[in-house]
Amino acid sequence: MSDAILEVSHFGVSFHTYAGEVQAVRDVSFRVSRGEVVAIVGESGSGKSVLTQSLVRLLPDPPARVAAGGRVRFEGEDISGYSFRRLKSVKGSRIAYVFQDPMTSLNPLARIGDQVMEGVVYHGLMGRKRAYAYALELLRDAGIRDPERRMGQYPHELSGGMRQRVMIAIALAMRPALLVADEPTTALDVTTQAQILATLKELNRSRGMSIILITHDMGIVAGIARRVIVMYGGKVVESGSVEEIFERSRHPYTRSLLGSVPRLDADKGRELDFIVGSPPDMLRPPAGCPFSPRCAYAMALCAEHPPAESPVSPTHSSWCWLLHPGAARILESFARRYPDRIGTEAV
Amino acid sequence: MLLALITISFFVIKLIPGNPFASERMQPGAKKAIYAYYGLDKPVYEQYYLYLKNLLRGDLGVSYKIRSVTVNEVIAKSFPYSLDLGLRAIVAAVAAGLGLGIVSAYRRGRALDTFTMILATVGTAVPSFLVGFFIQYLFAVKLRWLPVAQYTSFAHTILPSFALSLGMLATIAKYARASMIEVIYADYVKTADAKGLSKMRIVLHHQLRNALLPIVTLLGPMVAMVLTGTFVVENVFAIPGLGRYYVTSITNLDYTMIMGLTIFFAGFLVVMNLLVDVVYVLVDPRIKLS
Repeated sequence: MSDAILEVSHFGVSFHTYAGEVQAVRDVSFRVSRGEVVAIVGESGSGKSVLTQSLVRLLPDPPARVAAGGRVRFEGEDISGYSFRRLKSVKGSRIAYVFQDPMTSLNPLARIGDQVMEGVVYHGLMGRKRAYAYALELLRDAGIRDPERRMGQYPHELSGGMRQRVMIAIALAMRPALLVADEPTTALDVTTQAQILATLKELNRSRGMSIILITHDMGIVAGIARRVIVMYGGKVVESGSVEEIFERSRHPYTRSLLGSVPRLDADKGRELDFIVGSPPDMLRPPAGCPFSPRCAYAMALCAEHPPAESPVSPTHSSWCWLLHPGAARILESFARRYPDRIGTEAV
Repeated sequence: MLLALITISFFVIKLIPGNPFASERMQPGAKKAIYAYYGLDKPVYEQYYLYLKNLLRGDLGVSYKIRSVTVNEVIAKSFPYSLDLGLRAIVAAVAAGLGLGIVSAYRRGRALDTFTMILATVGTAVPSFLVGFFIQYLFAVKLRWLPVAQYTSFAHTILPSFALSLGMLATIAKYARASMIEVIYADYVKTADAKGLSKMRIVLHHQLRNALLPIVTLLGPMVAMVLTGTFVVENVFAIPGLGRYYVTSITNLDYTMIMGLTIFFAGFLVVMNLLVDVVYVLVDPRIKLS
């Protein structure tokens, strides 16, 4: 499609450590359309943050090395081979980031105002005077009520939610076409979470800004995203629209992930569902499907050969051997185990 | 606190066996006269009282050993040497220590980094008098590049300053390297990078200031280190500074000199630490004077 703002193909990132090469992201391909909110979900260590931060190489190399052969096309421009110098024109002004921990993401020794203004002033978009007025506006847009007072304060004088709003203001400063919000609410309490998400949603609507939202909170996904990418062990295992993922998921991992969301209407005393086992050791990732060691439906084949992409619908794909025509019978037992989770059409 | 120090050192000194004139052979009458002259015939508590009274007027008394010289005069004459030496050492240690620490943080595992780490280990482990004797022998006696001792020209200052600064230099380099490495991976540095800033700006505006913060805390102990270092280094290089007088006054049991210099050193340290605290408030907005 031509309205793609970001197209990533065969993207990989590995960390070179004393213990060996950790393949944090392996052969990942996905796309984001203009104005779209895409959620990337997956448990800790699945490679979500490494993937998105490596698009403009925010992680220091060494140890983080972007694998050769991957492609990152942003607004039609192949930025995968860009040097640090050339990436300066992409970072901030076209792709902006909001990080997970607002407590450590702001420079403790610089005033809020200076940190918000820094980008536009550095890139010569405006002088300090205009930038000051602009920063006030940005902070207000990000939901800060008394920006005049905040401008002169230091990060330690602000609460976590407030700091995350400052991070959002910084990210918005150069009117990026794409905002990467990396677990923006994980460190915040629930009420603040809701406010921040509402702010992001509003910015997506009013500015037409695309958003990649990284999270492991399925509730957040349902509330804000239009499309979902599920990652596991450094790979994409399933992607589709919110409805497709929540109601017609075709991947055992996605289903267990959804199955382990606590429910208010569940029977009292019922134990929470959880996924048995632990994430794969990325020093020696399984040769086949990364989820196969923990998957209740794994076949001998799964451990040895990585599953290919199986399109379920034009917008929905799943990387699972169960979708192979020969695996139809297994799906039936799948349906029996998750009767409340499975759409009838899946069988 | 200073009073406690004065009291304790006053009585401890009196506890040391012997007295300033024990080594001199004198007629009993002369001895009595000298004791009376310096007030040593009075009971100790009275001596203490008199000492405090004089101290309040800023009078540290007369030296028992160096005839007709007051302690105040000794300080006025020799402190400039110690101050000069101390300042040179601190400036050298800060400049070289920071430089080495920062550069090796960016070039971890390379030759310069290895050199810094070795220097840091050696510098902290080897006491300054050994360093002093060693470089004195090497550069002054063997190679004859620099003067052996005394403190009269710039060339004279190089060896003692280096001997005095090496320990600090090592400590600073080690801390600077560690805090710089920490800062390289800090989240706010990633934020700065994500703004599309240049490497230069990221380093200068976001990394250095934060990395230097812990170094400021080192300044207090450093002043103390320099102070004690001067005792030794001034002796090795025969520099007529305060430290040298301090050491000789102890071996001579020169009561007033020991007391006077102790009080002066203590007061100096208190003032310096206060200054460091003030600097700390100035550089870190998170700390407020309360």
